[in-house]
Amino acid sequence: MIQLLRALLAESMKLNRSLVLLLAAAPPAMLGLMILMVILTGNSADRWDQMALSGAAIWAYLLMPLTVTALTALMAGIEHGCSGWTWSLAQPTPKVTVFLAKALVTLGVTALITLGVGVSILLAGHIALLIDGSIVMEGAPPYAMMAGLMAKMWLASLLMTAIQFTVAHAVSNFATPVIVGIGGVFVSVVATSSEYGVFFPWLLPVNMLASSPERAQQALLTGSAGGVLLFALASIWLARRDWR
Amino acid sequence: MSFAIQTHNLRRTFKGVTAVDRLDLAVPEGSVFGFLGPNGAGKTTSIRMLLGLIAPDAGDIHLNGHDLSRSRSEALSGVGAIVESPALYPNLTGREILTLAARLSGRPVKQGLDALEHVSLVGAMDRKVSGYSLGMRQRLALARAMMGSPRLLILDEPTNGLDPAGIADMRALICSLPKTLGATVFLSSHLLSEIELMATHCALLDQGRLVFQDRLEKLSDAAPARLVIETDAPDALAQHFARQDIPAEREQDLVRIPLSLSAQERQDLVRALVQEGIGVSGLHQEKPTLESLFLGLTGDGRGANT
Repeated sequence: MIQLLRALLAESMKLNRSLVLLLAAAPPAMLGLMILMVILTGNSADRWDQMALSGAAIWAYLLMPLTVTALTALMAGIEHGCSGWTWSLAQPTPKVTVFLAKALVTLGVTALITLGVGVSILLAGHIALLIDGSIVMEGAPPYAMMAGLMAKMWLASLLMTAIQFTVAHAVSNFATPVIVGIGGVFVSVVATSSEYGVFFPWLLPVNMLASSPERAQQALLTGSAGGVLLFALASIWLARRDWR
Repeated sequence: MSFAIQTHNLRRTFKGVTAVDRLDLAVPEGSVFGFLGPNGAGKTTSIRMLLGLIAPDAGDIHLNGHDLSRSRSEALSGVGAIVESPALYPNLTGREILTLAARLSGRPVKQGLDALEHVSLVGAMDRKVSGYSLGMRQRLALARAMMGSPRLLILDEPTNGLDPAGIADMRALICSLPKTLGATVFLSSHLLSEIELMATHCALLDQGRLVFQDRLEKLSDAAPARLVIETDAPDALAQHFARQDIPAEREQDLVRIPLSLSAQERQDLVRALVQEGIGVSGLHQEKPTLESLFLGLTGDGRGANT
């Protein structure tokens, strides 16, 4: 356990001044700004809950998969870029612990970004009301609903994140995980209308908005349990493979 | 004798190509051990196996007496290494790199700062590594490898890409390690001259197989030094040596003979040749090249770089 904590600390330090931090700030800022513009131009729903759900849908359907793609590719690139594996995997710390720490840091960053997105959506509503006093938003700001929804979306995204994490760490070039991520978003457009679309990893977070509670439950279970399992298996596999 | 590194029957193939074949290394404790071989001989593959980065197909590895496959943590805990490139995170400062290494290994951060002092990088420790020269990066990587005073340092081509001043600095630093740290240094290179200046022991690898392993001075037996004489009468000079059953090689106005002579013996030889009417315009002792060593040890010098 102490080795995992040390590895977590070391992996977190590697993010200092890296592009990962810039990337983490971008989605909440972009989505918040977009929603603010939409409200100010009068094109937004005039209810707090509808406005929040619209923002969450954009996040889950498009921005979250792309963010996870870029994030995992950048985080793996920290090691690939400077042959860091030859140092980090030649330490007495078990290799599987190193990959588990990397997985946990990845999940921590995606959780922070998801939290930031939830906050920025609601903040955009408040800022719009401050800027233009004539705007009316019905209902109360749905803080609890957004917190629950964002948490579920994050849990459902674990499987997609684990897939991207595995590809990004196994392949030393930047292009492959990016292609997989963009491909996933592209295929999810088609998979939405499929009966089995609920099981497509890139669509699991969107299913948190499904009108059917069973579908949402099924997606949440598939995404979270599948993600935890794949992260564990990927960490074991990555630790056992050759690092040339 | 105790050994810092011992391998037995180590083998690894990649897609049917044997990179390392039945490698039996025995690196004595406290030595500076040169691991010599041409590019592609299997040096880096061997080092990666020593550090557990790739698994051998067969054979076993002991580091400081610990079996790497059974007690990986114990085996690697007394080892510092640089493999191929310095492997430093460019977004971090020198201080952060060593703090990170200290945190991961559970050592006090002060050990990292002491190591920085040892490689004369204290003045640059708060600068980002992306702004470091290659020489500074190599020194920082060495400082990181030296943290915690490991019993064994494994350095893969540590002078690669450095300018002459950087090479001299790195060489001096490496030579000081057995004394300052009491460590064994295992050093790979494709340059014989490099190893000659630093090592006490050496091993030669050719196409994945060990062709020599012993003290460095024994290496010269495989390809003795040659005397090169520059003359205006190469035919007469060659005949002079033929009469004494000394094989001579001619190359334009140069004649090479497989002899190592002292300064006094060289003076006597020049005097004798001049008395015979053979003019000598130059004379020097030529050191064996890696190529000639391979020729002496394997009967062919393919692929060897000099």
